[in-house]
Amino acid sequence: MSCHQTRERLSDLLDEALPESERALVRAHLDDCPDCRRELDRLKATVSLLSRVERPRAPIGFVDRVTAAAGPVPWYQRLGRRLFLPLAIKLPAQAAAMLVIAILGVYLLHRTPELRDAARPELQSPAFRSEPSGATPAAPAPPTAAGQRDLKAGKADSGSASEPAPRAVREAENVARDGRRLDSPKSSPPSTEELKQDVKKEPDSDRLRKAGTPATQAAPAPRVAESTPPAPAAPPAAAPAESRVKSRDAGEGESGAIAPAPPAMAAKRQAAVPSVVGRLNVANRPAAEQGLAELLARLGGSETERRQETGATVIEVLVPVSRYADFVSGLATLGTLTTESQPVALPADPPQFRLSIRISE
Amino acid sequence: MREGDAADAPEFLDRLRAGDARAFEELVASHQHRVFGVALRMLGGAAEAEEVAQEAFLRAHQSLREFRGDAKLSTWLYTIVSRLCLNRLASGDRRAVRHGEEVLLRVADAGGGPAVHAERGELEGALHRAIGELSEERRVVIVLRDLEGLAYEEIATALGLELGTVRSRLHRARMELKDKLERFLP
Repeated sequence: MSCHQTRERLSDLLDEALPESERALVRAHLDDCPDCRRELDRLKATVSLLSRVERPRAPIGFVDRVTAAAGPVPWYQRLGRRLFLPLAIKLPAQAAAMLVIAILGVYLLHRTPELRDAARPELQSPAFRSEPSGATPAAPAPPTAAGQRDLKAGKADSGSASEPAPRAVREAENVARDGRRLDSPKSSPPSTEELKQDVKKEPDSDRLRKAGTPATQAAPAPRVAESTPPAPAAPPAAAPAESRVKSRDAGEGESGAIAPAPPAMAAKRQAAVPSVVGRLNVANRPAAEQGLAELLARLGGSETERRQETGATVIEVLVPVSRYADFVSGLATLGTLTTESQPVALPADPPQFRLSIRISE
Repeated sequence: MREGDAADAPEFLDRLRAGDARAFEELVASHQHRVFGVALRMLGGAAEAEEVAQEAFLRAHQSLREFRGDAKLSTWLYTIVSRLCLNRLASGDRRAVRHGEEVLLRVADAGGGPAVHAERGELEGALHRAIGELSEERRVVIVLRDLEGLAYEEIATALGLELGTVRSRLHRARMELKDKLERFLP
């Protein structure tokens, strides 16, 4: 190995980076070459000098400045990272959230009377009313028992070319039908005949207008007049949800096979309806009871139940919707009428209001 | 505080990748002098060195999620700061300064001004000057090897060079320094 070749390898020799074979050759040359040995010593001294160089220190506060610059990630960047989570995490989370929202929505719809009232106009929509008619091929087919079962179960009737109404309307119909079943004295499901009769009925607004429009006619009982009667086809506004659920679970099956509930069950359901609609303060209770009976007879109404309470008589009556205003006016002549809740409408023919009058002196 | 290879513990790396601010602070605290030192040796000015060192840590912070752990964390930081320095030195403005005498003085005074320089003595001043006079490609190798103590393989990784190129450049740099520091050698 020549001096040049040896000196080219001195740096590697110092760092012990030479292969064993080359190291032996370099060592052999250094043993015989004092100039190269001196060169090696000088190179070693140079590296030794370099090792004595003081390492500079970062300025005071450098760490704080770097961490501050790295700082908290802006909200939009954090949001972006969260939005673009791996799909394996994001999709199940979103699906779970949608499921919770859907369950909550259904729960609120069943629990909150106001929401059910809000859904009522959909029940009267032309699309719903035209469902039973199926005379022509272009018209929607009448609901079959299987179809009704699907509606009861809340299933979407996907793929049906004769979809009679939007899904929301059908779901609302489902709710209304359940309510009707529970609230009807007969506890019978709406048959095709009933649905056809419903087609002939007037829209809610017209019917309410013809129902006496208490706001304009029942001057002696303004508090009753202020409360617009609900649509006859609607379920009771204040009926306890628990009783409805229990009734549905315990007493009724699929719509196509529902038989009329026994009278005892119907009475039980009636008892679950809020009992007091109005309080009638009178000077003479027996006379007022007699006057109420005469009023009912005159208007075509009927008394369904009577019970005595301490210092009062509670009488449940049915009054045709069309005579409701007259009934309120008549009550006002018997005493001072104070309303506590709205009357309950029944899907009878003709439509009737169920009222409970508490007569006290 | 973590130092050197201890920073490569899997738990610490996991914290860094998870965006743990305290872990990042520990990383900066434990490597600040090394990173700043490389920047200062390469660039010469303390203010510019601090700027580049800070930029190196910020880039590391942004890329920590992608750090796979193939190399040591310190080597990764050396890679970032070395390339930032070389890029800056390669820029037109920076090159114009490089050819002036100012840069040599700044490198020579890099430790902290004339007073400190006087205390360190003639030898250290000569060392700084000699290092500053090396070409950029040789200087970065000598800084990483003889001042920071990186292995050949680490330098090759940091600079993206072949191992033979690293050896060659290191040898040339040392020989050049030997000639410049002749009067301090035995």
